[in-house]
Parts: sequence; C-alpha cells; structure tokens
Amino acid sequence: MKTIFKKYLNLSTMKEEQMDNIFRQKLGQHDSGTPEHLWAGIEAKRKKPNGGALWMPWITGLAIFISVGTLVWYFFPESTTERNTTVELTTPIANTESTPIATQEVATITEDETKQNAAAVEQEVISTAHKTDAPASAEMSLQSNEEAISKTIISETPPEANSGQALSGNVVSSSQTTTAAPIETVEAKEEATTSKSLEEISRLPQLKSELLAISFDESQIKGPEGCYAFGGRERILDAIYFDAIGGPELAMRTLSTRGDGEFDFYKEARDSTERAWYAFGSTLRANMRYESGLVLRAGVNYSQINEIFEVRDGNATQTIITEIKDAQGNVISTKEEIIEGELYKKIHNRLRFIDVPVMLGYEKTNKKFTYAVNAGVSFNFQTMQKGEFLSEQLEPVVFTSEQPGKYDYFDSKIGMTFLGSVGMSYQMTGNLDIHVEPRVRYFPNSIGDGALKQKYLNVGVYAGLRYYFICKQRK
Amino acid sequence: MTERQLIEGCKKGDRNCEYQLFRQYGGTLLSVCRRYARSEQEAEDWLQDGFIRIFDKLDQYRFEGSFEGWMRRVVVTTALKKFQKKSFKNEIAGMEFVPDTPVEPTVFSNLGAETLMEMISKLPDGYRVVFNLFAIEGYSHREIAQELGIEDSTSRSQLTKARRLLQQQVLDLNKAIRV
Repeated sequence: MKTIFKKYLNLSTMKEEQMDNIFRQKLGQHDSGTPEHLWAGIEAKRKKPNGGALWMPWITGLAIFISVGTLVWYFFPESTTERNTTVELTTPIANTESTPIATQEVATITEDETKQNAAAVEQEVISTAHKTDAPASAEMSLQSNEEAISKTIISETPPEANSGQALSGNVVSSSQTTTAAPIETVEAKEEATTSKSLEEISRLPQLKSELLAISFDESQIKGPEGCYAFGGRERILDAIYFDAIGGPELAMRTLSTRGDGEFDFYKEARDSTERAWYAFGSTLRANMRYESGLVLRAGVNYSQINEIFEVRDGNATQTIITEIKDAQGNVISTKEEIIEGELYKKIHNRLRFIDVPVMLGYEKTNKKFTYAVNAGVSFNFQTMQKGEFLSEQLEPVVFTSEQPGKYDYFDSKIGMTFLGSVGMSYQMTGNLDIHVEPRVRYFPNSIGDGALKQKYLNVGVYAGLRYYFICKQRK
Repeated sequence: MTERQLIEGCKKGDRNCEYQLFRQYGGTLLSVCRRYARSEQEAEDWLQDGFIRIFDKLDQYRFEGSFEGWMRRVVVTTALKKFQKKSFKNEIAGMEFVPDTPVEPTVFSNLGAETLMEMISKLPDGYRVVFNLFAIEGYSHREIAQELGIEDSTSRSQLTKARRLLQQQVLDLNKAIRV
C-alpha cells in the first residue's frame, strides 16, 4: 500500500513538472511580434516630465533661498549700506541734483577725511546752502582739498532756493568757470557774497559743527535702535526669528473608492480593520516679518501618523504543506493539510512625512503678546510607510518603503498639502518667546494609488520656542 | 552591432540603439506582458512602461548574466507593480473547490502557444501570476511570496489550483471539440 501511494505521488509530481515544462518551452521564448506602433508612445512617455520632479527643485530652491537670504541679511546688513554709499561717492556733483537726500550718506563716509582736514576748514570753499544741499557742501569740501584753494569764500543760498540753483552757484564759485549768466550778475553776486564773508567767518566754527552734526546723524541712515533698514527697500524688515515647535495631532482619515462602487467591499474591509492611534509633528522654520505685519515663513516639517491594523478572522484557514521525501532525502511530493481556526493580528502602522512648508502670515503685537494667522502650502519631500493592512484580495499583507517593491501601494511623494494655523506667543526674555500654534493640514491627494483614495485631515497643536535674531520693536 | 555595443549605446542615450533594442526584444517582452495582463491593451501599456524602466535602469546592468533575462525580470517586476494596484476581486471567493482532474501532460504539448496563452489569461489574477512566476519564469515559492507580499504556503496553494484549472480547461476544450 505504501509503495502504491509513493508511486502515485511520484507520478503526480512528475506530471506537474512535465506540465510546467511544456508551458515553459512553448511560452518562455514566445514572440508576439514587435509592436512597432508602441515605440512612439515609449518616446512620448520618456519625454514627458514628471510633475513632482519638475516643481520640487524650484520649491526646495525657494526654501533654501529664503533661509540663506535671511542669514545673509542678518549677518551682513552694514556691508550693504557701504556698497550703496560707494556708488554715491563716484557720482559727479552735477548728477547729484536728483538724489539730494541719499547723498547725505556721503558726508558720513567722509568723516575721517573731514576730521583730518578740520584744521584747514578756514581755507576751504564751503557752500552753506540749505540742508538738502549738504552733499554739495561735502563734495565741494573734497574738491577744495585737492585744489588747495587758499582763499575762503562762503556763499549762502536762501533756504527757499532749489537745490539745482544752489549747486549751480557752487560750481561757478569753486571752479571759476564761466556760465551763461551775465557778467554783471556774477560780479554783483560776488560783491554781495564778499561783503557778507567777513561776517560769516565768525560763524565758521558753528557751521562746521552743524555740518558734522548733519553728517553723523545715524538715525538718518539706520532705523531706530535694533532695527536695520535695508538700503531703501520698500518693505522694511521688522523682525527675523526662528521657530522650533512641535506637538500632537489628530489624523482623520478618509477612504473613498476610485471606481463606481466596485471596491466598496474593500473600503469597508479597510475601515473595519484599521483605526487611528496617534499622530505628531514638528517644525523648524525661519520667519521674516515686515513692518506691515506680513510674515513669510519657510522651513522643514516632520510628521508621523500612527494607526492600528487589527484583524480577526474566525473562519481562517491555515495550510500546512508537508514535504514527502524518499529514502535518499529527495522531495518526491508535498502534502497539503488545511487547519481551520481563528486568526488575530494587531499591527502598529506608521506613515512618516518630511515636508517643506511655506506660509504667509499676518502678525499683530500687543505688549508681550504676538498673535498671528497663517496660511500656506507644504511640499512633500519624502513619504515613508511601514505596517500591514488588507490587500485588495482581503489578505493581510506587509507594506514597507524600506524594501522597494515589497507592496507598492503607497507613494513615496504625495505632492502638496494645505496648511492653516493661528499662533500666539508670549515674550519671556528679550529674544525668546514661548509659542503656541493650533494648526490644520489637509491632504488633497491620496497617499496611495491603489483601488482606494486615502486622504487625511490633520488637526493639532504645536508648541515651542521662538528666538528673535532681529526685531525693531523689542526691548 | 553586437549586444554589448547596443547596450553601451543605450546607456549613452543613443535613440537609434534604443529603437534597435526595442525592435529586437519588443516581441518577446510583449509575450511576457500578455501572460500577466488581463487584456491586450493592458499588456501593451505594461510593455511601454517596462521599456521605459529598462532604459532608466540600464546603468545598473553590469554585463553579468543574460541581458534578456535581466530585461525580462525588469518587465515582470513592472507588471507585478501594476498588478498589486489592481483588484483581485475575482479571488475573494477564491477558496472555491477545484476538483482534481488528472490530465496527461502530453495533451498540453499538442496545443499551440497562442492557445496556452489564452488558457493562462483565463485564470484568476492570483493564480495566473503565481503560475507564470513559478512555471515559466522559474521563481521559487519564497521569491514569489516576497514579490507579492504573501505567504509561501499561499503561493503553493495558488499554484496547485492554477494547474487544476488549466487541466479543467483542457477537458472543457476537449468536450467542446467533441460536441
């Protein structure tokens, strides 16, 4: 009996192998003919840019630009000012008429030179035009130094005279060049000026101090103490600060079928076997606040959604396959044994996201409190998953992004999500605030591309610290 | 042009070489896709995606082992990735009893390749994939289990059922011919 059974098993295995061989021989190298018409499609698909790949570098670049820009503006604000004034110094007097205010900085830069030549002030040609003509005075001072004019001529232009006239007069008097004005007029002016000169000489020390006072009024160049005015930009930065915040979230999941009810059974199976557990996230971001109250925020966000997969199948079957070997230990057949029982599984699933959030906010400060509303988008950089769920065959399957191709249900990038938040911070020390920020995040795209769309709406409260590098209004 | 020159050309992005590669292997790889897909249209789509993947991953081929084998593996992986995103609804009640219908293997050798292909295409998705992987591609049950995210025993079980259904199809075919 044993021998007959053995022979039967041998025969059965041989038949199966023989059957497989026939299929392998006939189909293994089967050629269906080159489908030439598909080549155009392959070329077209290869040329088609990947949407995510296209915008991702731009967004990353933007985030880096904002971050680096913030640091550069913070560490090198004064060098920017110097660069501006250098340009002014090289501008000829005749061309400075249109920029009377900006050229006040010229006087500032020539501080040392002015001091060095202070002893020779009496020998210089100085125009005491209206304050808006201060650059002309400074420029004249430089010119007179170079030409070593020994005679002091002080001319005063009435305050109501425009700067163009004042500059014109100065040029005539210093360089002694002729102008289109009649000789009598010039002579009359010189006579009148000379008659006043002796009187004005006595005021020279006072004028000198006034000039220096104009030159070193730092408030004209910088803003109030602690704030940097960045070279006449229209939007003046009010504050630059960093946030390090994090906290719990509630991840509300929505599953919906892609077809017309075809996968309702699968949706029900997933909903009944998976439930939310907990979620959390943290953000590190740089913020630039303008005087208008607008705030630009950009940084990096890490978030994690944890769920529980729990399945209990009272009618589960377990198939035990026993290998039957011959006396030499060769497998001659296999025997299947099916055991009925109850299956219980509880797995902790984990979805992790790394994003680059970019937000626009509006802030209002009231004493030690700062309030804000923010809205923006978050660009997903990487999504990772690990866990277990029911496949579309309703069998528990393992999915993990750690092994590519293990169960390729979820995407590695989920595109853009929307963010909204309100924030409140309290000033603890000069530069440090404690910050609380309730937030909401909506995932418009499914995180997987299987039969079901899997979307999330996360609601959470982040809390943490805010550190100010620069702030105009803080003490 | 030798196969090596063709591959080197493709690695450099030479369009002519890529086209030659497609012409040389397109037919064989289309057969692979047809064995896994549910329809001709689906098979053609998968072939296109498979070739795109081949061109993208060609740098990873180190001239070790058969190039055709490497390409087949890439195409099969591409097909399986698509497959996992599709429904296996037909197999939800897939624990149906399939009677043991012994058929002499020689019967299959009398059938043409297209007929065998058609018989395979009639198998439920899971059976078809496991049968293709095991019987034709030569994967082990462990490899199949890893690829599909199932247990080894499930793979064995589905293979057994696939074989029985193929035998049943031969009997049905025989009956139809007699009638």
